[in-house]
Amino acid sequence: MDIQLSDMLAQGSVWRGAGAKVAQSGAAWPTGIHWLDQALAGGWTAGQVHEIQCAHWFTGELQVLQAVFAQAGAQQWPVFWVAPPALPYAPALGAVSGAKARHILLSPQTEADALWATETILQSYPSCVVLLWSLGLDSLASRRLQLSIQHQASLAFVLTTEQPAEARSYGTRLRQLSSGGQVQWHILKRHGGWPVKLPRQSLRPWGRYVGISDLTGFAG
Amino acid sequence: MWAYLTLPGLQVERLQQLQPELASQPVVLYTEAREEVVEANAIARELGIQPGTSLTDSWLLAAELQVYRWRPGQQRQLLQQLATDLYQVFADICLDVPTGLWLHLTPMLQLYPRWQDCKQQLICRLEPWQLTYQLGFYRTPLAARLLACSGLSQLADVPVTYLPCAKGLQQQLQRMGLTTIGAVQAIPRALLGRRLGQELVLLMARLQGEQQEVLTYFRPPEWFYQRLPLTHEMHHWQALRFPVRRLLQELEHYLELRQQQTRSIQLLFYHRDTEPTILSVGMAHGSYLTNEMLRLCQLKAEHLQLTAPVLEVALQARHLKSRAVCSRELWEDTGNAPADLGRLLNELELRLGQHRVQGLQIADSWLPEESWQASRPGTALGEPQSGYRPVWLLSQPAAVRLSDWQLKRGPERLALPWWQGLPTSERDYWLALNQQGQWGWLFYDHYSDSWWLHGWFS
Repeated sequence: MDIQLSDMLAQGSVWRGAGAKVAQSGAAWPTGIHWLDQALAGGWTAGQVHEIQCAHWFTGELQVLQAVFAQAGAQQWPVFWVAPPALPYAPALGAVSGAKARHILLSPQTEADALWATETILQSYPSCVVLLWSLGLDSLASRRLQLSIQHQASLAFVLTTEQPAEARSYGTRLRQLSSGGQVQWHILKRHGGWPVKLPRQSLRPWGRYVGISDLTGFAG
Repeated sequence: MWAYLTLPGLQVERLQQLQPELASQPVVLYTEAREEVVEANAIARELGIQPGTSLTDSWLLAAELQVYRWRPGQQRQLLQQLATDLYQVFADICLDVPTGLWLHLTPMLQLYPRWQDCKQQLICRLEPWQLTYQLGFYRTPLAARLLACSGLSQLADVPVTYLPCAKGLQQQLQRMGLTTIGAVQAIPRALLGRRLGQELVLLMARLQGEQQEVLTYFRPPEWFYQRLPLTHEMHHWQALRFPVRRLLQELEHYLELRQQQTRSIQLLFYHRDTEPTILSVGMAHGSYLTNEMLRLCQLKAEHLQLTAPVLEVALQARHLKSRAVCSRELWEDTGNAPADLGRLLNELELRLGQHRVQGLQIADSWLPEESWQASRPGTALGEPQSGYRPVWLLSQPAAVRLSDWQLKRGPERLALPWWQGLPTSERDYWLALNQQGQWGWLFYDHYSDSWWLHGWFS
């Protein structure tokens, strides 16, 4: 193959059509939302960094991650929250992910510290879920995170505000548009497919109701 | 049966092992009091410098001589380290600072019926240390020591100069013509006592085993300390990394022998005139690997300011605890080496600060502010509570206008505990939807008659 073309492929500026499906590795974690699972060919792929963009925080961006928390809790994988906009509330996380789940909150002072922490976690621990909140990563930072997570079984999510359409090395780029109680997901980049807009759906509030009978120790 | 191990060049050989560049130069260790050479390495001895030569003569014999102080404290410590290593095989060890150490072999005869096998074991244990040593074996400790120091195999041939008594007594014996111990032993004890005094009689009794030796047996130390002099003054952390790395390797070996890990280490940098600078590195989750500890020291030392040039480096590790054994399934496909969450958390806490890395845990309370707690990172959440709770909690409730929100589900009444002294109040919690489509957790406070936002459901 021509040297320039292979360089461009390595950088990710050229997308391969039919041969690319073979290269996808990593288990798919279902999102719990039927349309999204169909569009992403099974769910969130392990070993890749996924980006979720939303105009404001708390508009339902964690909805797509609820099933991920449940699965991570069942497998006892630690979930790292890096620089979230508010405090994750433990009882709600417990209702979804179970009693044995481990959630670790990191509140670094600077953006550089947050990126360093994410990279260190991805390099040192091969089976975890990392959520990073930031105002936008440049191409170098996203490439470094992608390199750290390659060939691991971990999942990484970057939650940002709406970003301009420059090329970034994320596995999936998802933009969430919400208005009047209805949410629409616009998949800007995904593996093995063109960008697509999913139909509007009403947003359910997060979480699961825990009744008295669900608690251990009560006969129900 | 007793064995005595003497190590004539212990400190200088250890110095050469920790700093290999000294092996090609003549090195001597001297005592400050008498300005005499105590130990000399192989190259110095070839040039004619022997233990006992004065320092000025040594400078005349070798121009580029490397001179270090011989330290009794360091000698004691090295003997203790050697004894700790031998303690794995031999239980009864007595230190004889500064010359060497005794090993009581009689209890070992249960394992090794012949004392020659014990000797083989001892030689095997000493091999990795790569020190020059001499061994002496006899029924009594004092005789074993004399045999080891003189290097002879028969007690009768040992010259009288090796006897641990006053120089005057030795000279008296020599003037009488008794040059070897065999000759002294041939004379009846009563005659010796009358002519030369009680001291010699007691010495002979100790040699023959008629008098018990008072020896304190060695107990291995509880913590680790090692000090390393540097070949030249160092001013920056980049140059200090290499000696620190060697010290950490020794610590790893020490911890490996005991299957322990350490939670904090102190690096002490000694200067010429000022107090030593201390760098403390804490690892909340324990650590025992050289690379990991070096990385943590590197992180901590980025902010280190050295006020004066460093002459010596020491490493101290006091808080040791046994390692947690993690068992894995045999058939699990882990791929790389098993990851250690503790190691990762050590590094994160060191760089970001311990208060910025927290674990989340459910606490037993009905009040939202108190039903979660920050715990040690890596702990499980705990049993879930009943009810429907938002995923985000605001640290302070925010005042809202009810007209922006549409109440959907509720109310859930939670009362503040009267025993806390606050004005008793009840809160009615509602699940509500606002105009932007966000789901929030509102509550109506009866005491202040107002609506507040306490969390988000999305």
